[in-house]
Amino acid sequence: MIVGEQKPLAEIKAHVSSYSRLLILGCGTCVKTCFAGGEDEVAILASSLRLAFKKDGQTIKIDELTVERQCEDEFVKEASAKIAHTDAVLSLACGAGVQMVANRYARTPVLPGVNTTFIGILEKQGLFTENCLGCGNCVLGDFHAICPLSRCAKKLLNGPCGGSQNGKCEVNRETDCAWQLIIDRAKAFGQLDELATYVPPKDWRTSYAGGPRKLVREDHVI
Amino acid sequence: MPCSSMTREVFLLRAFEAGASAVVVLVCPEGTCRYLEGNLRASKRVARVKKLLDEIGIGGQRLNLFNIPHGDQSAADGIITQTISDLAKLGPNPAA
Repeated sequence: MIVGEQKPLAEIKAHVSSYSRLLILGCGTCVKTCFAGGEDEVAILASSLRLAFKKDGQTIKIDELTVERQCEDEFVKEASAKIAHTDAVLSLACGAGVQMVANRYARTPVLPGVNTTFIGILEKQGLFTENCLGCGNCVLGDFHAICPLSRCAKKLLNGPCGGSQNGKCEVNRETDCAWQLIIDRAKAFGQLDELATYVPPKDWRTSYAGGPRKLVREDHVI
Repeated sequence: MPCSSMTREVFLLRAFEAGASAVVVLVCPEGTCRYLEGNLRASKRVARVKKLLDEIGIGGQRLNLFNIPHGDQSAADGIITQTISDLAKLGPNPAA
């Protein structure tokens, strides 16, 4: 999932303070799962902003709506009635969703309420960790399903740096050394020898470094 | 509520929106929740809303959680009396 974190209240308040009618638009998929922008978070933020503005003697009319996904126009369309009666939209979706909303509602300011951070997993309750960079050329098959690009601080492809201690990364002691994990898994499968195969430098052109990417599925285009 | 774990953050905030100057949440003592973690979850949510109230500028000290055994009326009375007394120093809700 895409993981994000809601922006600080003070930052959001500053960005919306010039509008007298605001719609807080939540997203019911990734950001709901990481407790940044789902229906509950929309309600909490709306209430917090109303209190904050009232404390300052200002009135702001805040409406609330959460759609299934803001990255799909079919769902974003559902917000049209409410957006017609607002001065601005505060989207709690990831960056993709914010832009999709702005794309459809070109005459309404659309502001982000979430900092989109990474593609990751729910490692355990309350802990989300990054484990995919979206590099565009997945090589997890070469590393026993542990990604050295997203999980090794140095993005090494041909073995550990030698700086790890007790299985922890020398760059960040709270992070597991990805290469320790790869080696442990290779050993468990009896395939340690395969790690001796040389892996050439990563071609980053398939990642965001090559510019905005596109995927066209002709079989789905009518 | 069947369990304090049903206390949602937005309920606490809406109480302040409705004009409350203080909110108390009474939960079962630690280790006695019949649903095992309910009072712990309530405690985490109250802590989060206290922080939000500080950020809003109303003051997190207006929201407090207390562990009291089920049916302990005198403890509840004492907490409410203390809260009302504390309000004299805090003043009314500035966002009321």
